[in-house]
Amino acid sequence: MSHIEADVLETSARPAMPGRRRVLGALALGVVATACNTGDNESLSLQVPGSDGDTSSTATGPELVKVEFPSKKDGDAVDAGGTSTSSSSTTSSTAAPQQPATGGGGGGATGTPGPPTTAGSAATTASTATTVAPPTTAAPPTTAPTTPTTAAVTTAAPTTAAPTTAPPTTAAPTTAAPTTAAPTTAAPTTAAPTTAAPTTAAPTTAAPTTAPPTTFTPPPPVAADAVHVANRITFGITPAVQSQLAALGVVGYIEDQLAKTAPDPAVEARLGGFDLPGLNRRQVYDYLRNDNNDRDDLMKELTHLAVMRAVYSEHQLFEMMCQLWMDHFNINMHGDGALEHLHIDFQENVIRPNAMGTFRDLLVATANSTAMLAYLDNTSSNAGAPQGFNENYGRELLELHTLGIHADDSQVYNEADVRAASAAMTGWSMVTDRNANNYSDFLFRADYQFTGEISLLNGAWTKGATTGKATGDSLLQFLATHESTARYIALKICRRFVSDNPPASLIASTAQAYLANDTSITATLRHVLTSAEFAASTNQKMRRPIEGLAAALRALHADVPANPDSDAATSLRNQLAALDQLPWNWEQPDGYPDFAGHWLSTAGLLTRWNYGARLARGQVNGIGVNYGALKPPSDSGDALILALGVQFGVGNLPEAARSAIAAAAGTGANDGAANVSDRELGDITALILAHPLSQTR
Amino acid sequence: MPTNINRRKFLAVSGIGAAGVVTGLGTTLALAAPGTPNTGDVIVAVLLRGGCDGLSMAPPYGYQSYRNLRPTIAIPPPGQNNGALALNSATSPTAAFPTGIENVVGLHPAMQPIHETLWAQGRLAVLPATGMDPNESRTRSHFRAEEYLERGARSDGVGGGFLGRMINAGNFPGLLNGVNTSGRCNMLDGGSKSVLANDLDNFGLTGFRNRDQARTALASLNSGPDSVSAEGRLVLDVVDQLQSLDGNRRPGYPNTGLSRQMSEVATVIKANIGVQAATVELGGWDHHRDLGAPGDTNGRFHRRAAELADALRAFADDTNQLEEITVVVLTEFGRTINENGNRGTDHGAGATHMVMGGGIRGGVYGDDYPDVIQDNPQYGDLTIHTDYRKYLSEVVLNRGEVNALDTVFPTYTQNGFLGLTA
Repeated sequence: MSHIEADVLETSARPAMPGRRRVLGALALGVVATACNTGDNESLSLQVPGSDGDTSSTATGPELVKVEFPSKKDGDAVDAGGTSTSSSSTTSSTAAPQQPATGGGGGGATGTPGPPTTAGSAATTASTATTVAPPTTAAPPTTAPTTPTTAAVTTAAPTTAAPTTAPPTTAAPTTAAPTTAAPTTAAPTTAAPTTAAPTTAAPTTAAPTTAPPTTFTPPPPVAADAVHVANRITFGITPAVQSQLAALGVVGYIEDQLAKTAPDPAVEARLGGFDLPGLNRRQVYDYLRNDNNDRDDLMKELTHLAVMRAVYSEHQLFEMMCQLWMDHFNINMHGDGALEHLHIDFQENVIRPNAMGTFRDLLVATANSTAMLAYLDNTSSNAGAPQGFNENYGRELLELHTLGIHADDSQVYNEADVRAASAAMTGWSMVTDRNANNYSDFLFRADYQFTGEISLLNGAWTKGATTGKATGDSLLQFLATHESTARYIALKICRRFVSDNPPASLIASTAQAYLANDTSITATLRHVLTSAEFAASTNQKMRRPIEGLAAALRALHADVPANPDSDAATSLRNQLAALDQLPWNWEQPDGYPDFAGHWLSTAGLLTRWNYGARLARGQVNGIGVNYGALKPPSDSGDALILALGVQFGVGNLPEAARSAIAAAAGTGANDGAANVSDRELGDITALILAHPLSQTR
Repeated sequence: MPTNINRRKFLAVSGIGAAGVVTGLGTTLALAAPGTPNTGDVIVAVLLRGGCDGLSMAPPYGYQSYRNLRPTIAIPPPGQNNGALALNSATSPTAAFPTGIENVVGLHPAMQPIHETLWAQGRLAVLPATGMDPNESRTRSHFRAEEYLERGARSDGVGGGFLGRMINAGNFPGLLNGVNTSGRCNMLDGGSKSVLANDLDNFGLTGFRNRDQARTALASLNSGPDSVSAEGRLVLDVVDQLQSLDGNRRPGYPNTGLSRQMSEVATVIKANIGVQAATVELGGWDHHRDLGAPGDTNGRFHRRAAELADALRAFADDTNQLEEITVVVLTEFGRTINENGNRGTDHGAGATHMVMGGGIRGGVYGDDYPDVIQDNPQYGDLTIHTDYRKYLSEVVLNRGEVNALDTVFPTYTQNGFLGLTA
């Protein structure tokens, strides 16, 4: 990507990102939305009724639950009054008041320092965003190289201008700020009434790089409905899961899944027919360069890996988390900078080993992965280049990976911070010699590194004395434990496991759990999965295509061959392609959406129905259905249909639905279950898979 | 079907229109103005995938520079053997030529089927030197350029396709607003009430045995007030409608892939179920070699152009010469101005797009056209003088009657219209 295009991308993408969300929100309203009391266009509750309309639902009969989301106002109050705030305000009283100042503009004026501003209190420093000297100019306006008070990015040379000579003033930042901060702060200002608006939030939320602010006392665990738990933390309920839930209890089952923090060895052992998972970067490159292989082979293996693990792994929650992080740290296989041969390495060696460790380690692993660095252009980001360094990775590092843009469109960072983060990550590159044995391995390039002062979030993080790769390492540690990161990761996890628009109260408490446990993913999950909000959120999530497919295969006891070249694998891959969820094929770096509005469509639903029916009826070549294992003990055809509904997780089917299913399958209501044929079983289960509750989780 | 039922009036009085949708779906489907039928045209987008050579589609026969750059494939002037079809007032009395290139640029001879009809009637607008603003993207990757073209923006922060956003912004009544007859088109992405129907005969409950009884059971299962059930009922309604349609190729259409798609689009439009946008595609324009010499009717470009023109002609004849329909013909980029060593052309910049319809004033449009065909080191082969979103904006607003250009083209800065909507 040329620098010119990068600039265009930046300017055109900024206002569009919130816009895209609005598009999706509007779409959701048009298709599936039911009103919530927040007045938020994005608020959307997916309501699915109990199967028989009986409000006294049992453990196997999901009931209609409408969650009343707390108002935004409440949520923001929680955010503002959260425990981190008090602590960080303490620190900010020492660090933040030293308001940044730099030479503004990129005019290349020599040696005119921006006058440092010393505001008297933390409160007043919040009034303006940081100012920044555009790093793309090599001009040397500087600030004091020896103090931590410099603004986001300044150029390297400790030049003639002595900061001490500059009189304290409040004027300079306010004049410079609008020109630099405008592009990003313009869009999110819809959140203006909240306390999390960018300009005010930055100083107050700037957390220290070290210890979490307060101790966090977890609330007592709430045991949710068993089917609900199975829906949420597995790829689909099975009799085996139901047995485990019964044996361990709901909380015990959750703990059991939380303890499974690595791949299921039994499933991994079945993957012998795959060529790629064990290969290193160089080997995958050579494999794809071989005339006999191409992108299709890569796609075959990636897709079938995802399917096999989702369907057969006993470590279901682990696999759910792997998919969550694959979306969170998405790399579009076809992206401008993406290198196809690095996806296997990224998935197998970066995401999966860290999926249930700490977010800190996961973040560091992704930042050290050349798959990510190449995709987001950091490998070629060179502070010494005439056009300056590349901001692609720095931007997504803040926006998508860590600090985030929150559900109310608020954010704690601005454009200057994007440039600062980008500057801090310069030098994180890779070996580009395709003939080298270590081609595409990580390589730190000191010659690419930005050598000036760097400061983020009004000085909450500064480069300080760090040099070389340690600068980036320091930034990552800071970001992983930042309060805004905590809230953003909490949002992503709650959106995955609770609802599209999770309650603000839960996001706030989850963020506390995250910080109190040193970014532990399992501890954060434990908090979410045993929360009252989780327990009250039944059936609010639309199954995404791979979840719907896996749920059908699991419910049917389907026998999917492990061979990625099999007809079965081809058919499943084609189905995922038709529903637009092939691995690593989401075009944007933000990953496949986790909103019902994106996935619920006329064509998509019909496609799911038809494919589920073909699977159930044994019509997909190479995928066998174990009808014997499928058939629950029952006294009659009608009782059989009733029992199958429960077994498939859709609850007690009402009489009208049972008789309609029986008619379509040709099953007499009083036929003994023993007389129900495999073909009838196929017809019955085909229709159960088209139940609305089969599309939700 | 000899005459076109007036779709607008039909929608206004029919239960299949807005009222049917609202009562059928209960409370969860939000329609802004139920009962208000849209009076705008159906927008049919024809994507020429692969990078159609704009200098063959609309040859600048009047320029010596063009003939010099293309020694074996340049199209001769009108009147000569295998010459271009003239685009001037003599061939289309009502046509407009705002850039003054009447008698400079013509049309490829294979486009005769619509030159003698739509062009002569004053319903065909030709837009040479068109594409995405090079300041937004200059990519010459098929994949990227098609992605940006269909999205209507380079930025991947813009969701869906431009027609999908138009559908959503239009908030149209009717059962089905968008139909994509090609599995690869993305212009309708994200649009509500839009379906992929690339085989009308097989758009149905194809996975089920005893489909009639399965339909009854599915209706029973999806009878609740929840959003998934509501969508399920919409699926059944659409299946009922499309299954009742005859998926066979309509009379008068040639037996080609594009004509089959156009025939299906005509079928669905005539079914009066609310369709406001449709997408079709014709691939095979990536003529790196042997594009074809003038007069070679077996030439690769000629055969593609003929398939295009024949399909457009049949579609126009089937729809009372595009009554209440606007067809736009797009391609991801034009090609190099010079012929390469294989008598073909490589990926370039400015392309030729076309707009035709009952509400279109024919002519040759654009913001400008070069005085000489030469490489522009800053902008590449054939400078793009007209952003394609300029004419699309005009079509969406004035013919589609969707007043939401900021939503449809969020990264494009509006700067006036070309005046091609009559």
